[in-house]
Amino acid sequence: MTVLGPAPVPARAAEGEAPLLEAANLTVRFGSPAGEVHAVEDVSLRVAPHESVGIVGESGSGKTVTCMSMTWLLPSPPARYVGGHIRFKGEELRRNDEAQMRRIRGRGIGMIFQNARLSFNPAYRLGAQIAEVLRMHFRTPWRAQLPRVLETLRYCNIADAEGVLQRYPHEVSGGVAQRVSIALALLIRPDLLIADEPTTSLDLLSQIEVLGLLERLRAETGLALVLVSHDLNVVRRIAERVVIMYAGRIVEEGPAHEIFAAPRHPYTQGLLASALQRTEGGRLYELPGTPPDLAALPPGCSFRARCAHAFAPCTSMPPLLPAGAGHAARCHLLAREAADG
Amino acid sequence: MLLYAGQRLAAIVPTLIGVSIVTFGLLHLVPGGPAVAMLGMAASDPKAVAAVTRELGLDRPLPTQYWLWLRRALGGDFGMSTEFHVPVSSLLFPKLEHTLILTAGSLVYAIVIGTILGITTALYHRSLFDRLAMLFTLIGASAPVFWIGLLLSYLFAIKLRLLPALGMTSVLGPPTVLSVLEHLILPAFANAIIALAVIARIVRSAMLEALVQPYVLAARARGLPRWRQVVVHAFRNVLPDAINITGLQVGFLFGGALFVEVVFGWPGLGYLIYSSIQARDYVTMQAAVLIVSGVFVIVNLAADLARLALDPREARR
Repeated sequence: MTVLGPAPVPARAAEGEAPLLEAANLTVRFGSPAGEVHAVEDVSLRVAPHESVGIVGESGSGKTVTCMSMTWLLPSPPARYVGGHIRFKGEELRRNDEAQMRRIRGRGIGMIFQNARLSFNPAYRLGAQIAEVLRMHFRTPWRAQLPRVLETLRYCNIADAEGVLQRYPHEVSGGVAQRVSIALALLIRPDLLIADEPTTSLDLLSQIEVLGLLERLRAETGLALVLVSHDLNVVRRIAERVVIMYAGRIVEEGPAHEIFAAPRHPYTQGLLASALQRTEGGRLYELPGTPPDLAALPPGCSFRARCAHAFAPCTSMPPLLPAGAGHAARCHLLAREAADG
Repeated sequence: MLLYAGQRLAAIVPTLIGVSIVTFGLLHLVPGGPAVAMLGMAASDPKAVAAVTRELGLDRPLPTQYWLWLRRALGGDFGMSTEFHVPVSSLLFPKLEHTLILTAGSLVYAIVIGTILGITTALYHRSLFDRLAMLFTLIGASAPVFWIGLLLSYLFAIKLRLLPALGMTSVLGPPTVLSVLEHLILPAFANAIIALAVIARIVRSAMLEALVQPYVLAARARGLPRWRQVVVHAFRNVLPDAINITGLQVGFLFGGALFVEVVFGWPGLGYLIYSSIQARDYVTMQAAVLIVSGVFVIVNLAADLARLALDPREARR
């Protein structure tokens, strides 16, 4: 691996290591005619160097807004930064400092999006768009960059690397476009890559290929990764740590193996039951009900209305309660269990 | 792309034939027929009518007349002006040039100011500036060209005495490029306002749409500066729309010149049509209308092809 920076680093992050990215009590709301939408409430998130974190939730759970807040990519207005801190490599990010943000965007924190083809401008060839970004970040001539570009594209399983540079976004498949966008993100050499639903709009074979690539990247380059998905199976394959979001809040977080083996929050349990079930023997499991309206959240636990275990204390919002090493869930059941001993 | 261009080129042939038939027919729709119309007061003399009828070949069958007229027109011969007694073509082509200068001047205003206004209002969407600019374009697009021309002329030429009110060159001293440009400022602006307003509105709405496209967000996420997001990424995708609407405006600017030329005494095709109508010089008027229509069709074709060439998705079809 000469193109992709330093030698492979053990993927497992040491406990207590200084975080690469740290969000503390992040709160973001959107103005809307129906009232203020509480998109992200009091979210604290740590990503250690070389760590891979999966964020899981339904549409509207706040996972995308959380990611976009990191480099403040939200349209503002209507998005409003209500409170909290974001630190990247120990540096406090000020959302209204465009110059600082531009330094972080791409170079510190790379992003890839759900529909990679739409993330390229339809009017320019892919090569020109790669060249533009590299020129902005490195100020070296394209000719000098080209070998590294081709090598990185091939690393991302693009056999006809020269040919792809000549294509327009609409002339390649969604899977190829996603791999080109991953290659472009890598070319800027970020410390952290945020992948927002990178496989959602792809066909099954392309999904497998893109996931395989992200897995390989993780193993071979030690790039820190935040993988956002509504699909638990995608996250399970790559993430070391998993964060479950519901109605703008983190409801459970912990090591991936623990979350999948022993989920503590009823919402996580429901998600797992609906995602990992086998079809033999009866009906598919589905979570009853629908997520609450973020513009008019009821007081107390947001999941209360859909929860089979709801009891009296659920009318107040539970804190994130410890449920083991590095594992926590936002549920009163944990407190009850602790009290019951 | 080439195939499509060929199809478009072929499609303008029937359009031009239709235009020529209508233009030719105009002369014969005049009450009393062309000879009477041309003679005006003198039409009470049947001998004069007969002479003119013979001279212009009006006694022949209409298809024959049309064919003769068209064949000569294609060769650049539009007949003799009944008013000025010179070949119409010798009147027409210098005037066409003057009108094209006025059209080009208006086009520069419309494109430059319209585009800048469209982009800035999109960037400052819903601000006070945006609202005022949109109000201005609404008024500008609704007001008749000659009225705006008269207002501008009154304010800048007569009250403030900053710019000349009439003509194309200064009567004092030899005609220079600079004096033409000086004379161009007011009429070109008056003529440009509607097109400027239309371009500004189209660019604004297309920019508003383009600015929220995923590729602009992605460009931002990749660390590109704001101006590149706006100009290189968003505006590039507005260009086909902008060129399309600009192409249509060229035709209207060309037509608007007719009024503006009269208000500002600009010696162009519009002024020629105006004076030939007043003088009942139907031969000249007919030729001028034919030229205007032909230029209109060709300009729209050119704009369409330019739009195709700029949009790779369309170009590959």
